[in-house]
Amino acid sequence: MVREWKTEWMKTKYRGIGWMILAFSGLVLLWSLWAYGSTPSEQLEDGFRMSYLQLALMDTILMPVMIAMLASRLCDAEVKGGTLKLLCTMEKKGRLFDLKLLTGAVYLAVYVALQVGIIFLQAGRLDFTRPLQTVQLFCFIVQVYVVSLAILLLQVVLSFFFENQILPLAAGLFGSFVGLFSWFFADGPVKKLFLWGYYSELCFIINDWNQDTGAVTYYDAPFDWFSLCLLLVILAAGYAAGKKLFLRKEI
Amino acid sequence: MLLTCIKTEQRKLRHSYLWLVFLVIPVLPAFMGAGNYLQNQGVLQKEWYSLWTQCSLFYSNFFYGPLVALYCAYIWRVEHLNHNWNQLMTMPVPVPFVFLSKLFLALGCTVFLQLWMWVLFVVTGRLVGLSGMPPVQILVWLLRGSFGGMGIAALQLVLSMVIRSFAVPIALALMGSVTGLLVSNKGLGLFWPYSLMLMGMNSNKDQDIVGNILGFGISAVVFFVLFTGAGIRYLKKRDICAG
Repeated sequence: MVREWKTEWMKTKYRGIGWMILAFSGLVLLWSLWAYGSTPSEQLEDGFRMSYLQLALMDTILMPVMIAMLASRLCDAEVKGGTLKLLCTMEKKGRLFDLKLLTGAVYLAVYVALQVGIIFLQAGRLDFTRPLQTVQLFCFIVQVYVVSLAILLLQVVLSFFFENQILPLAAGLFGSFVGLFSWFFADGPVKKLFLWGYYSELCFIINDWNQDTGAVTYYDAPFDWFSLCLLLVILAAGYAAGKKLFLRKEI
Repeated sequence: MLLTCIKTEQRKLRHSYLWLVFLVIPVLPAFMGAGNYLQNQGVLQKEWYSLWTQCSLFYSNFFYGPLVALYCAYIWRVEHLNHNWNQLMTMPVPVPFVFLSKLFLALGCTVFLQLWMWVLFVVTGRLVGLSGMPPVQILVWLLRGSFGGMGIAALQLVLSMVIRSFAVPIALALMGSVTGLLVSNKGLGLFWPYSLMLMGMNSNKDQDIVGNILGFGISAVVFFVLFTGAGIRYLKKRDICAG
């Protein structure tokens, strides 16, 4: 198991995945610097709430494409390199699938950690007055990480199944679109139908924009535990189905 | 000769299902924009212009770049696979024609996308109950957006040629588009190719944001010529890497 785990990391060498994670994090940092820069100072007092909402929105746009790319790069050695037959004679086919997911999950964890770093960086720089609530930070991490993990699972399955990577990447683009628009959907079952819509579904901050003054006020909303449980069920079922499909795949 | 090259490139794209992606993905911003328009009619009262702000908002800000990047990456993918670079570079055609024929397809894709957006805009406008046809000015914005998109298409073609990965240029396009939004908000859009599309499209604005049309035109042409020239020069000078 350890040897296979090491092999997975050797496959990622020169793939530039780490750079990609850094580049996307840099973009989020740049975007948030711009967003905070154009925010009145009195609104920045509630900076943590603002961060949770804005970063989740940025993730909805960026993450589906980033994850599609991550999955595509992770599966390059097998798909583009045509080494699946060779690898499956040396290691268990199911384990290859698991380790691929696990590698992606580690990269996602790094990305989420960098986002938390961005929040603290902005908090230190702009002096957020309202104190940090650990529960909210935890909810934010769960929100971004679990949804991204579910998308990663879908993308890994797509990347393994289609030699032509246009479909997985188009799915990523489609996901960005759907996810973005899901922020404008009315609450209801439709939102729960799309995996990418869970970024907004699990958002626990709401805002109110005053049309006359232009001021934005942030409020707490109850964390949607039902949606989280539903997502975890989808994740578990998707994992079982994806692995079964991969095991049955003709190589 | 160039026409033959273009036909050959078209043939390479057969059975690629690219058309399906380009047909389906723009439907989303159009219909979602219409939904947003219906939900906010209290604020959005300028009929076709208001609908335009909603339909063009996300398409030109975030999605045109990655969509055309997908197309460009696919055009070059054929060459990156199966040692096809060797064959491509030994074809009895001038090297610039190789690049220009692919560029022609990318530009055609841009125009198709814009016209498809127009059709969707008209259809959604009718569906939300707007009467008549949209003002000609919006069609001009749309075509101006195509003009602005030329530089992005040329840049993405160069990136997809240089970077052998299929996915990386698409991610770069998304990053470019996001920074395009930030740069244009700072008033420096004319200096960043990814901003030109959203400026040309007059994205999310019902008043024309391109004050200096000459500057916009010069910027679009300069970026287009710069990236096309760079692409041709790279193809002429650098040794190929077939694998």
